[in-house]
Amino acid sequence: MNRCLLALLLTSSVLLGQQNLTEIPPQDPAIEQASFKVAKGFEVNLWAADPLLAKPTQISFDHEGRLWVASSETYPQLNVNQEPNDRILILEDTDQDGSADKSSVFYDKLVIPGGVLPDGQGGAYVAHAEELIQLNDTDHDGSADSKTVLLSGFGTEDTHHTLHRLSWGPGGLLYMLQGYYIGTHVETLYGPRRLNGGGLWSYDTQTRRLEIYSRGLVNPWGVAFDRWGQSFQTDGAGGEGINYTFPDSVFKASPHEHRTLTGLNPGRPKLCGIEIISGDHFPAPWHGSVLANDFRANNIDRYSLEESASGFLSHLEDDLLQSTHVSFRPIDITMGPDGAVYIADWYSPIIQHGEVDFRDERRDQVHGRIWRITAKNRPLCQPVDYGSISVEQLLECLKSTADWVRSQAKQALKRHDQSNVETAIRTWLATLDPLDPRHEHYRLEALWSYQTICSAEAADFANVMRRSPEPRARAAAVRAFYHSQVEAGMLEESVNDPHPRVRREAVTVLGQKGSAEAARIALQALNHPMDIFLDFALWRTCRLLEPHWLAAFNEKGLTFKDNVDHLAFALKAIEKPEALAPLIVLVENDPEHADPAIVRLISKIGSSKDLNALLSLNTLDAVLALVEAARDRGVLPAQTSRLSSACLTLLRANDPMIVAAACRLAGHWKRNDLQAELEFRLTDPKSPVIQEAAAQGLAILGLGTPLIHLTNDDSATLASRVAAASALAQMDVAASVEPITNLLAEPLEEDAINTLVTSVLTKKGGAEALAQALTDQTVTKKATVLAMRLVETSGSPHTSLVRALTIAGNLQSLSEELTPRMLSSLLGKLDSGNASRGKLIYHRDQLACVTCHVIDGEGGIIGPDLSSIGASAPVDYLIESLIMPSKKIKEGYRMTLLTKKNGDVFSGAIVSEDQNVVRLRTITGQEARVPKSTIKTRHTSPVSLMPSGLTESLKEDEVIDLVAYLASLGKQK
Amino acid sequence: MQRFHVLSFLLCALLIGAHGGPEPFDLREGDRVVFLGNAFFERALDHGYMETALALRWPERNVTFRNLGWDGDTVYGHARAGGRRRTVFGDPEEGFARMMGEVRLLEPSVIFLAYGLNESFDDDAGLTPFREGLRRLLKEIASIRTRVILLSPTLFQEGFGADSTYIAQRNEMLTRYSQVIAEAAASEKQVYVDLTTFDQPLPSENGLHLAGPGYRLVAERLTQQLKLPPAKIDPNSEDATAIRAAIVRKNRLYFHRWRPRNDAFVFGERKDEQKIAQTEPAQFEPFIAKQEAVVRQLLQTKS
Repeated sequence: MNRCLLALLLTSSVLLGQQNLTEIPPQDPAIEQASFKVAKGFEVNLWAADPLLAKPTQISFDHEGRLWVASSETYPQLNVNQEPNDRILILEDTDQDGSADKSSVFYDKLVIPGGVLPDGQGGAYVAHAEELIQLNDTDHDGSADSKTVLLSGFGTEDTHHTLHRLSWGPGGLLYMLQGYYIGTHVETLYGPRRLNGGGLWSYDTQTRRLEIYSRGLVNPWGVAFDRWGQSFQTDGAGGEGINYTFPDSVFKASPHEHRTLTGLNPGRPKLCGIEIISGDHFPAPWHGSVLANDFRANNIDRYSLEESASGFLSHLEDDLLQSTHVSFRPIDITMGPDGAVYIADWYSPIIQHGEVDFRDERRDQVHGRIWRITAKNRPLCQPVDYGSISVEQLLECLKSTADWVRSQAKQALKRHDQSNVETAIRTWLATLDPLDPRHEHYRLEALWSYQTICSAEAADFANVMRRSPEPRARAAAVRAFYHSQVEAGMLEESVNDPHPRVRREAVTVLGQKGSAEAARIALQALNHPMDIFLDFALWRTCRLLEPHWLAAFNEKGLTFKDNVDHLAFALKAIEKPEALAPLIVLVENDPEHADPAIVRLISKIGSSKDLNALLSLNTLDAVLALVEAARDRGVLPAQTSRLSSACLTLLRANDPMIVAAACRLAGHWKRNDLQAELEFRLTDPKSPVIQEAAAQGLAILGLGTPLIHLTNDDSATLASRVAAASALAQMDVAASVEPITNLLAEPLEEDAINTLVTSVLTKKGGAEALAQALTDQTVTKKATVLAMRLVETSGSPHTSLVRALTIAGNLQSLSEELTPRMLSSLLGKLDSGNASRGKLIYHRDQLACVTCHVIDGEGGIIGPDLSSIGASAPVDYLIESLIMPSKKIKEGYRMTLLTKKNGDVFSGAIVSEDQNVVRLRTITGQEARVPKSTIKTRHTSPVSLMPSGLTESLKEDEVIDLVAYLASLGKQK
Repeated sequence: MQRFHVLSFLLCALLIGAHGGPEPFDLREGDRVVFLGNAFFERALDHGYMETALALRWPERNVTFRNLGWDGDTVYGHARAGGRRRTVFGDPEEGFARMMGEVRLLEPSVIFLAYGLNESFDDDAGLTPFREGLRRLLKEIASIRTRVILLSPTLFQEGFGADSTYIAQRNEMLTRYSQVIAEAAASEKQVYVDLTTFDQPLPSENGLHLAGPGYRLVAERLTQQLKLPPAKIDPNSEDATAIRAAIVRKNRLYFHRWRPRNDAFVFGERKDEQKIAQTEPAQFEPFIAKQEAVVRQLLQTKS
């Protein structure tokens, strides 16, 4: 039956594609433009459209006001035996009428270029898959005639994650990004540079130094620097809005990093491109606002930034632009030399190449647009002729309020004689009016100018600027020492600066200074108020400097004297066994120091002897830590004679959470002498939490009799009987199936049913035993439906159990309402779908959608967030995912089966793993912790965590309504 | 056949032992040559000089070449650890296993080896580990009975942003690492080709990687040090240029076969999201074979 359905589905999927083709929106730009709703006071005009360009990936203005476009018609994958033919285009508005009238091909032998940046000399840098190349036009005929591979070795594992988006930073470095699936190994003059996962690179085009600026984000697809040099990134595959980044900062999805910073707008949709509004064309209230493209919902978001401690807050404002046109895909956004905002429109109903086939014929491969947003009735900015004005005039440009003017002016300085520019900067600085409120910003631009031209004066002037009266300038100046060889002591003043941003920059820079002294000084930041960004920076610095300070500390060369807090911070940061001994001394001398982080660390890596330190703390953290060490690593405190009395003390504590943990501890510590204490707590109905824990404690000790007694005790509460039965299953599954069958006939809550069935299914032979016990028994319908779901996703077919459940729960045999015939007609009827009715269906208990999926912050986290699924997925993909969830599984939601040495099986999505434990998120949303030492095999299942057959109870019109609802999500219409 | 190879190999080794210098190198009918190393080989894909120089010597013999160069690689295979085993990023040590697996798959009879550049940044402290890593690699290679030619790195050039003192320091280190390679070659009775000494700086693309003319000089050096017979097709002829272009194209096709873009969807973590993608790399095979035939035909008709 399954195979038959599959075959029919395969044939019909061809039909689906063709049927849906008719639904591709009209490609006339006027129709697209008519869908735009732009913020009050602004208007949009079509600046360029196909055939002037196609499939833009990045747009970038040069110093002559021409717009360079990296474009790819090849995306997502080169065809077999296809010659590379992707292009770099140059668009021009030669008659200055506000739209492009000329397009020329600069180069046309590329494969999926992800970024372009004009080099100011008639050529351009191009992010070209595994390479950063420079294309030159040596004969000045307007097209490239030579290609230099500056850097190579960027990974190409995922073509929308490969090297992309090139831009200049304030100090003249070239910045570029890569996404999560990329493993990069670049050989440079300064050594190999390796980066697994996402990150922001900086590249000095003059010294050719390549460095990692920040790590992580799933697919960072935009970086912008504010006027004080602080950097913000958007994530095309992450949901945290604007991310405030700084050197050595680490974000979500960076492999092997277990501490990361979060974005400033958690819960926001994925964003692509970023630009900060500056210049005088946009009205003043917009200055400093951040624009980013919500490409899935066809919108352009606006955020405002607010300085907060050493970082920022970001607030979502009303959109700059909304569209209802599903092919409007704003992929890049930049301000132009006229002060208008330019948007590169990838133009496609399909946005990327996960899930939807590479060769899906609905992928648009010919269109592309540039839209221009201007403020009504406000003058445009006047273009600057950077090529012909003097060095002095270029320096005056540094006073511009427009970020792009200052950036182009600094780039233009590179084309002049270095010593002339140095002299001119000195002269220009002398002419500045100290009373001008923007005086310090001008001086900072002078520092960045020195850096841009690679002047030796940069270091000296940074030394001056680190004492600027303006903290934002001081912070930027401190960053200038990141790569320079300075003594750590020089940064002591900045670590103790009154402004937190300066302190954070100094702490970060010290991480590069490779000495114990650098760590000692950085830790002085703890003498001042801390915040999340500072705390992260200091933690990171302590880890980077570990080889230096830990050795010095162990050899007594470095003492922390009275600064025990400094020592504790540093030791906690490194999470290494060597760090434990001094921490334990701290805890033993003063239990006040036993903060949760230290306790957790001892639990995670401490030896038997180390665990002794936790014995007398009597806090919940300490008990949980002792449980974890015993359960996950089998490590018990060395003072075995104290275990019973310590456990007894905890069992008699007032805090029920401590008592509950102590019940488990009694089990893990094999305290059979405490049996009576546990039995007493098992039958005390006042605290279900303690009852459950006592049941587990007894089960771990192998004491089944009291558990069996309780499960069969009709006078006991259902909750306590469930707890006892589930604990019993862990210990002796054969003995548990009969009481469990009895309980499944009772009116249980969903959680209770899940607990019982899961505890049986994870045990070897459990499913078969339960099937046998169900013979001639009756269980509730609810229990049957839920149990079926669990069986479905357990990784084994468990046919006997399915049969037994079907009979015991009196289920109809699997319905045939959802036939291929219906499927092929579904698409044709989608117009009749009602999203409001679909929403009600979505929330039906029986479908259990909400159990696993989030929509707008509500729901479970087992499956992918569906908040904007309608904006990102084609309808046939939605239908297919509903009916055949295993056909295409979203990354990160694949099911892993862990088989333990004792035969137990756990299934779920891996949440995380460390040296001791693998944490799985199971189908019921619970977290299972499986100690690594107990795992025999690990298997990735080709089956989705989403059970198939969920929609089998639906009638055709209901499926149509449900699809209509899902398709509407994220469209905000 | 196999025995003949082993015998001639042993004889060769004996001769080297006896005379202290390598015998003239030749490529034989049916030889499979693999270039294994770091960006020195990966970047050579775009130029094809070394392969062309070898092919022009024996145009009548059926010899095939495969380039397994990988940017940033080391004798430990660290750049090759990317996740094909359902993990996004493998442990660096997985790289070595993958490297050897791919080498074995090609059943090479001759391997050109280019390592040491990336390792040299571990400075003096890294010399011993490098020696051991190289020995392990050679031992693994020895188990598949191939001839090995070990190349030294080429030196860094001034004029690409780094100051001359720094370049001199790095080159001193590259020379020390080259010495390790030379010693390993001697002790394994294999051929060593020194690329650290040239009369003039090798034309470079970025200070550490060669530009096309740089590879051309290296190819000449190879022919000298390996004592290759005279080319049967003039390397400076238009014919040779056409052959080189055909070789470059063949190598590009093989690159897409071997290391397709979108590896995550084709072999790795995102495999479950795509179906068509996984069938495409194999579709390069007929095109590679066809292009290989083009090269073969050019070699035979032009000689």
